[in-house]
Amino acid sequence: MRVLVADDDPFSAAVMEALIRSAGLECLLASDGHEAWQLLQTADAPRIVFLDWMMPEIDGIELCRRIRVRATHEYTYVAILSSRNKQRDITLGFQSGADDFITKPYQTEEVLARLRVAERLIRSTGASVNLRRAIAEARESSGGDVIVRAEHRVGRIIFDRGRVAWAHISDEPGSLAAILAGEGSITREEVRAVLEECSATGENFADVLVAWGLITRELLRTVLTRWIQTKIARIAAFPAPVVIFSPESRVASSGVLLDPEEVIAPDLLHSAVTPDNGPLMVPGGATAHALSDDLARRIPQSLQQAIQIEGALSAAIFDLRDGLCLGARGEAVDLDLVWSKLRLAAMSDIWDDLEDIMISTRQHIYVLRPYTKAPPRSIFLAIDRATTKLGMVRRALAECVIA
Amino acid sequence: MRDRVNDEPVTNVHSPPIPVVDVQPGSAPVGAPLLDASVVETLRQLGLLGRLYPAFITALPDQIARLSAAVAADDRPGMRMLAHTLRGSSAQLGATALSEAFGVIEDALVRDGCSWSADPELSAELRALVRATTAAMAREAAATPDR
Repeated sequence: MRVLVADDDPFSAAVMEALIRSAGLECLLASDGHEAWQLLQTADAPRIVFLDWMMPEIDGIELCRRIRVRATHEYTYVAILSSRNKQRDITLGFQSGADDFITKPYQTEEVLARLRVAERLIRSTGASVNLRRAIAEARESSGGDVIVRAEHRVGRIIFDRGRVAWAHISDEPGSLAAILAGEGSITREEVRAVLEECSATGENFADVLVAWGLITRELLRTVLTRWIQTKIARIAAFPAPVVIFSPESRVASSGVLLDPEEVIAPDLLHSAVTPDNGPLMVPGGATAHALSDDLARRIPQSLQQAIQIEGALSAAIFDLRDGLCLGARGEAVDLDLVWSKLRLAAMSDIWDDLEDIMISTRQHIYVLRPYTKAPPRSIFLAIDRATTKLGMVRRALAECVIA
Repeated sequence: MRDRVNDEPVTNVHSPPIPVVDVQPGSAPVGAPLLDASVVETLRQLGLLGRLYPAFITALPDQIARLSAAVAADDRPGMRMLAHTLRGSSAQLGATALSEAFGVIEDALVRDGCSWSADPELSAELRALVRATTAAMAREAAATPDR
């Protein structure tokens, strides 16, 4: 993953570059806002951007605003860099649309931790979350297509009884002749004859190819595995896709069904769903504060109420004093993301007047709201952006809190 | 501030004209370390100290000369940008006292109605602080083998 650092101060930029590289990430440097903006227009623009507040041409705040109004780009994680550390400066930074605010001089561990949050957020806004969900649904179904669309390109992963039968990308070759082209002994004419036989008899092509002695079943399986594996990896890399699972009843024509583990990357097979009551520990968590009987009773009720909000994916309640998760419902909570927002909420002069904190990505909206004002506890909700209305969600979440 | 500054001569640093700004009495930094030991250690661990300190020592006179020119031309945005950059880069390199001194200048520029006047005492203090800081940086850089 690449990170853009825009800073007119070469010394600060050099330190940040060294920190980013030490985290194993690639770093691009821009010495003013204009150069940074040009880099952000490119097709493979970095999706993690660190912007110095005060720099020539376009300052970091203005650049952040410009990034946020772009509708056609994938979500970009923006952190404002500044030697300003007054509360109003930090607030202004967030109001411009920044995800984070890092003060100079940089502290190594802090910057590295924030980079991990940025990476996690970017990953969560990509294809993987929805694709994981669709694949999980496909595996449980009797059959159907995981359809991944990015602008004019459509990828399909065809499932049959929980196993992978085929994968195809709309603008790439996918004929049997193309797949077997690398196996020199099979000619196009033979493939055509095999397909005519399949059409006439209803047999699948694997059986015919093997029966005619054109290829062994083992070699055919190896060839298909490699082909489908490559296709699925390319589908998973589609930028900003729409992903759905479409149940279909169709007969797979290949005759070779592959286990998902053979052709799909492990991170796409990992289920994100962990219905649980918690508690979970978050970074910084140490000491559990005792809960009153009333609160211990109310928290599960509140979580149940929150997770039933239309489009809610996960709900959790945290104690801000020690970072302890007091309970959670729904999908696994991104603890790094939550903790970065909790840290903001925990700033004393924000907390007293805080209604809620929201962060929106292309697929999700995250809302964090005080659950009890004193002692400070917060309720966190992750929502599927496509299926919810923000005003309704905020009102509904307000009804879940005690504060 | 004056008590903390070792006013020793530094041969590899020019003596640039120092911008003068009328700051409120007592607003100049007092007691801040010349170099923050933890930042020095971080830079050393990142393998940057031997490169960045000499570069900063070389660049600083020109930066201060540009700040002085901006002061002379009453170029407020230019002054503020330069003071801000010097404040930030000094802080990033652990030059806490110098960063705070540039911070005083930047803050004075930001303040509404700040007045400008020659202040030889402050100018001398800043010049001495620059000399002392760059000397300390030169010592650290010399003690750090290139990696």
